[in-house]
Amino acid sequence: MMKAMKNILVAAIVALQSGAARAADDAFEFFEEEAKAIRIASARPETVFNSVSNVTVIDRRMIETYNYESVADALEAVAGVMVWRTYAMQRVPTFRGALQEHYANKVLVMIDNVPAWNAVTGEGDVDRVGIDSVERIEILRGPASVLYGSNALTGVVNIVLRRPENGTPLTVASAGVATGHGRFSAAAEVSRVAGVYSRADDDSGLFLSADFSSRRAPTFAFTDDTRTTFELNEYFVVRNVNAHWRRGGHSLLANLSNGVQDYGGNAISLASGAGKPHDKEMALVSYSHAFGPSWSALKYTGTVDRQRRQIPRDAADSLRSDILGTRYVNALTAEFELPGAFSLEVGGSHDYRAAERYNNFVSTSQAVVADNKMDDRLVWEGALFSQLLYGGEPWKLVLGARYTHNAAFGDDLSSRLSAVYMINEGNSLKFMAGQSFRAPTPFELYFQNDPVTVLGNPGVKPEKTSSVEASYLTSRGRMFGQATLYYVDYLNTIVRNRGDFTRDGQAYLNANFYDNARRYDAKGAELEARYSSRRFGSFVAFNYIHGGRGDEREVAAPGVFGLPGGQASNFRFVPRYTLSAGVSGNAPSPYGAGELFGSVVAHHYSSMETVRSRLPPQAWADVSVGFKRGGLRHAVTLRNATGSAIVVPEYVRQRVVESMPLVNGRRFDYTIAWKF
Amino acid sequence: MSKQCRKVPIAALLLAAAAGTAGAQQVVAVLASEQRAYRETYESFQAAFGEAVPLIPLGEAIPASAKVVAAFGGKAAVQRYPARVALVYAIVPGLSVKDTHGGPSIKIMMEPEAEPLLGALTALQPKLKRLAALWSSESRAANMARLVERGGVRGVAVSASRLEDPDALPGRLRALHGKVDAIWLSPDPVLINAKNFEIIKQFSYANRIPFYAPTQGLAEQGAPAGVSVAFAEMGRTMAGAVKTVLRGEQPPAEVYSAKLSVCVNLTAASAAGLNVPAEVLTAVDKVFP
Repeated sequence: MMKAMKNILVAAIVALQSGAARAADDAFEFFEEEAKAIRIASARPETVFNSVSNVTVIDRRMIETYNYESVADALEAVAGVMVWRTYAMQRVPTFRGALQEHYANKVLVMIDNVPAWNAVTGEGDVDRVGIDSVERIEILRGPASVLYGSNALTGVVNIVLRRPENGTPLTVASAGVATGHGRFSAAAEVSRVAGVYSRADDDSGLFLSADFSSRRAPTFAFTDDTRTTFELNEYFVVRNVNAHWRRGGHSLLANLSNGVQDYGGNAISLASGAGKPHDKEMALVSYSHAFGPSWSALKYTGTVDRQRRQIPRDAADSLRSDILGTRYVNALTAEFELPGAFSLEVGGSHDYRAAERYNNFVSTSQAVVADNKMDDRLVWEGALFSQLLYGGEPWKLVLGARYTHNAAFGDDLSSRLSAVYMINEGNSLKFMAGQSFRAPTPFELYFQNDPVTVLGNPGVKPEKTSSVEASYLTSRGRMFGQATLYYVDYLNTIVRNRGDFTRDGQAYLNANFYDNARRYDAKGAELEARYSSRRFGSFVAFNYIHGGRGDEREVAAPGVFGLPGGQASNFRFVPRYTLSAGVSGNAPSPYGAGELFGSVVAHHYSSMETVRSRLPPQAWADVSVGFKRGGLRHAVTLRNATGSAIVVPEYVRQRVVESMPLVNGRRFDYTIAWKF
Repeated sequence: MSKQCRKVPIAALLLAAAAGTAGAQQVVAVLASEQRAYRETYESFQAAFGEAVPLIPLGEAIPASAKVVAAFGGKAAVQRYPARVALVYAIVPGLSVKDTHGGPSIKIMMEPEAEPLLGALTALQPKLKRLAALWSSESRAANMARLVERGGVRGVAVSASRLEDPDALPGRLRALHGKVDAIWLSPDPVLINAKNFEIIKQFSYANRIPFYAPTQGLAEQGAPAGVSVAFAEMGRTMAGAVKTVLRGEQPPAEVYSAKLSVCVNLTAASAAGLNVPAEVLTAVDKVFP
C-alpha cells in the first residue's frame, strides 16, 4: 500500500513538473518564433532592387557611426566602388573599375527610385542630396538596364530620403565647421548646415529638407600641362532642397540642387580656366500614382529633370560655356500575380532628352560666341520590359528582358537571369547574369567646338556591358558576409580617344574625339563583411580586379618637354585591389548620462599605372570621436589623418599631367546634430 | 486545449473543404507555424468570422480570388503577397509590414493600447508614479513614444529609452535601481527569452520592484502580474478588421483590442513587493497561487 502510494506521488510530481516545463516552453516558444521572423525580415534587402541582385545598403546608422560627410564619402565603403575624379570633375563614382570621364554617365543615380541625370551629357550626380537628408544608400553593382533602363551600365546608386517612424515626426537640425591644414595653408569654414522635417501617418506623409555643405581643400601646388606651377584651391560646395509628399497612392518628389566646384580647366592649365568656378543647377520634379485594379498593381511615374551647368573656358573667366537640357520621362509598370508562386512585372517608358544648348558666351555681356553645333539636339528612347519572377522556397528565380528603341540608333535587347538558392535562413547562394545598354548622349554625338577640346562623333555606337556573377551571403548572429566572383565584358565602351579624326568632311589632326573602345573584359572578386553589436562595429570591403587590356591603345607623345608617348587602357589606370575597413565603438559616458563614441575608417589602393609611369599604393584614414545624449549629438572628425596627398591617375586627357589629387591635407570637422 | 477548442478547427476544415468546392475565396489565412499561440488566435478568428477561411501553407501562392490575407505570426506576415490584397496580420509584436507589403496592411496589435495599459497598471499598483518600459526592436519605437506621452497625461513618468543590445539588459536594470516603481516588459521578441526573463525576475525580487508581463504565460512563469490581450481576443479583433475591409472600408493601420486580460501571480507579487488591492484582485481575469 505504502509502495503504491509512493508510486502515485512520484507520478503526480513528474506530471506536475512536465506540465510546468511545458508551460515554460509555451511562454517563450512564441517569442523565439517571432525573433526568428525578425531575423528573416531583416536579412531581406528591403530595397528598390529585387533581392536577386547584388546589393549593398548603407543605412542611417552606418552613416552616423562613421560620420560620412557626403554620399560620395559613404560609397567608398562599398566593395567594388571607388569615388574618383577627373581633371574637370570631382566625386565621380566608379564601379568595378569601369572608369567614367567627367560626364559620368555609366552609373545610374536615383533619388527615391527616380532616375536623375543630365539630358545633354548623361551624367548623374550623387551630391544632389546632402548626407544629413539621407536615410540610406542602396548600391547595386553590375549591369541593370533591364530594370532601370539607360545609364545603369555598370551600377546603380539609389539615394533614399529620410523618413520618420509612423506617427512620430522627425525633426533634425545639424551644423558643422571645419578647418583644413595642408602643406601651404589652413582655412576655416562652415562645412555643413542642414534641416530635416518629416511627418507621416498611415495615409499621408511629408518630407522636407534643406542642406548646405562645403569642402575646401587646403591650397596646394599644382603643376599643369604647361609645366606652370600654381597654387590651386580645390573646393566643392553644394546646396540642396528636397521635398517628398504622398497621400494615398499619389506621391510627389522634388529636388533642387546647386553645386559649385573648382574647374580643372579644359587643358589642365590656368589659361583654360583652371581654378575658376564650375556651376551646376538641377531641378527634378517627379509625380507617381500607384493604383491597383483587382488583377494587378499599376504605377505611373512622370518626371521632368532640368539641368544647367556653366564651365569656365579661360584664365580670366570671361568666356564660359552654358549647357542646358531637360529630360521628360513617362513610365508605367504593372505587377501580376500568377499561379504557383510566379509573378510577372511588365512596363514601358518613354524618355525624351532635349539638349537645348551647349554654347560659349562672354560672361560680362552674355553674348553667345559659339553654339558648338548643339542647339536643340533631341533624342528620344522608348522601352518595354518584362520580368518573370518565381518566389518559392528555397529557390527564387528571375528572367527578364528589355527592348529599347532609340531614335538615333535603332533597337537593343538586353536580358537578365538571376537565381537565389536559400540554403537556410542565414545562408544563400546567388547566380546572376545581366546586360546593359547605353546610347550615346547628344554631347558625345554632336559636340563640335573651335578650338577643339573634344569632338562629338555621330558614328559612335551604343555601349554594352554583360556580366555573370556568383555570390555567397551569410549571416550569423551579428556578422554578415558577402563574397562575389564576377566576369564582365565591355563592348563598344564610349571613351575619349585622341588621334586623327574626320567629321563632316573636315579632318582634325591629333584631336580628342569620342570613340568606341575595343572590346575588353575583367574578372573580379568582392568581399564584404560587417559586424555590429551595441558597443562595437566593424566592416571590411575588399575588391580585387584582374582587368583585361583588350582596349589598350597607343598614346602619342604630347610633343612638349621631350615626353614620350605611352599606353592607355581602362584597367591600366585602376588599382588591382582596394580595401576599405572601419571600426567603431561606443561606451557610456563617465560624466553622467550620455554616450561616447568613436570610429576609424581607412582606405587603401594598390599601385596604379599612368600613361608613362606607376603611382605607389595610396592610403588614407578618417578618425571620429563624439558624444551623444538624448537627441543631441556632437562629433569631431579628423579627415585624412596622416595629411598625405592621395593621387589617382589622370586618365581622361592623358597628356603631360599624369596624376590628380583625390584627397589633400588634413581637415578637422566638427558637427552638431539635434533631433527633436 | 479544451474539447470545445478542438471542435473549431475540425468544423473550420469541413467548412473550408465545402467552400473550396463551392467557389472562389475572398479571405485566406496563413499561419507562421503550428505553435499554440498562432493556432489559438486563428481558431478564435475563424469562429468569430463565421465563414470558412482556408489555410494556405506558408510559402505557397494564394488564390487569385483572394482579397484579404489573414496572417498569424511574423513568418506569415513577411511572406510576399500581391499588392492587390489587403494584409491583416496579428501576433506579430516585433515587425511591421508597412514598407514591405505593396498593398494595404492592418496590424492587430498584441499589446494593449497605452491608455488602458496604464489604467490597468495603476489599478494593480496605485502608487505607481515612475515606470520603466523595456524594449529593443526598432519597430516598437512609436508604441513606446505613445506610452511616454500618455504616461505624462496620467501622471506616470515613463522612461522608455531603447535597449539596443539585449545583452546589455543587466546594466540597464542596474541603472534603473532606485529610479522606478515598476517595469513594463513590452512584448518584444528580441528581448524576451528565458535567460532575460530570469534576469528581470531576479532583479525584481531582489529589489522589490514589480514587473509586468505582456502575456499570461509569462505571469505564470514568475512575473508578478500580466496585462495582455488574450490570443483569442486578438483573433476576434482580427475578424472584425477583415469584415471591415471586405465591406470596402479602411480600418486604421493599427487596431487595438478593446478587452484586456489581467492576471496576478500571488507568489511572484509577494516576492516583488507588489500588494494588489483586494478589490482589484477579485476583479482580475486569472490568479496564479
